[in-house]
Amino acid sequence: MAPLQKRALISLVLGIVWTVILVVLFVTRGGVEGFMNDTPTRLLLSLLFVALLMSVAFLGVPWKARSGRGVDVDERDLEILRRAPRVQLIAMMLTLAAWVIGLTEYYWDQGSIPIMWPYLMMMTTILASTLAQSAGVLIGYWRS
Amino acid sequence: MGGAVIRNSIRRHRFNKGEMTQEELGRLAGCTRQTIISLEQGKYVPSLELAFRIARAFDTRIEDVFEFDG
Repeated sequence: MAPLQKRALISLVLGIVWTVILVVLFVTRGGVEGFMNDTPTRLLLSLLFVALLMSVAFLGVPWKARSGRGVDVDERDLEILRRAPRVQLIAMMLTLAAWVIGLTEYYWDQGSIPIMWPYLMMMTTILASTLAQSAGVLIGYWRS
Repeated sequence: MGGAVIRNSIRRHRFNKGEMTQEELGRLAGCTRQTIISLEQGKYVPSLELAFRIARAFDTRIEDVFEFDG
């Protein structure tokens, strides 16, 4: 397994575990209602979300590799890295489409959506993008 | 352009070099062992620079290692 591939796998597993923890906490702390009305819940989930992004960013695909430097990457690794954003783009588009269609259909009669939803949309889209980067790198190695 | 294949004889050249390891070739050519594996399996086509470096590691010409089958 290439060093970058190993990092991407660790990053993906870590991201999925963190995501599961976030979802479980979100549900057990009252779901959307809890997130809207309970400030400590909102703060806790937001902090965990930022911690997730930071841990994946630092333990995942190394910054040096992203800029084409580092001893552990060669031209094949860099080509795989260059193609990974395609998977990120697809993941983000699908996430946004799912949110927009779901919310629009659910709140059609009210004519507007509660103020908290765009915040959750942003968090999940960033999350999907972060996980998809690692997935994109792994797909790249699998295919080449 | 479609359908063109670049074949290589890296495996044979390693054998001729006294069973040079993939690790050693990777070190000489400046790439990882995984890239050498991918090249030998025909899954990855190297850049011109890497192809030259691999040929140099075998002390031979690039066309002896890589063959364009277009």
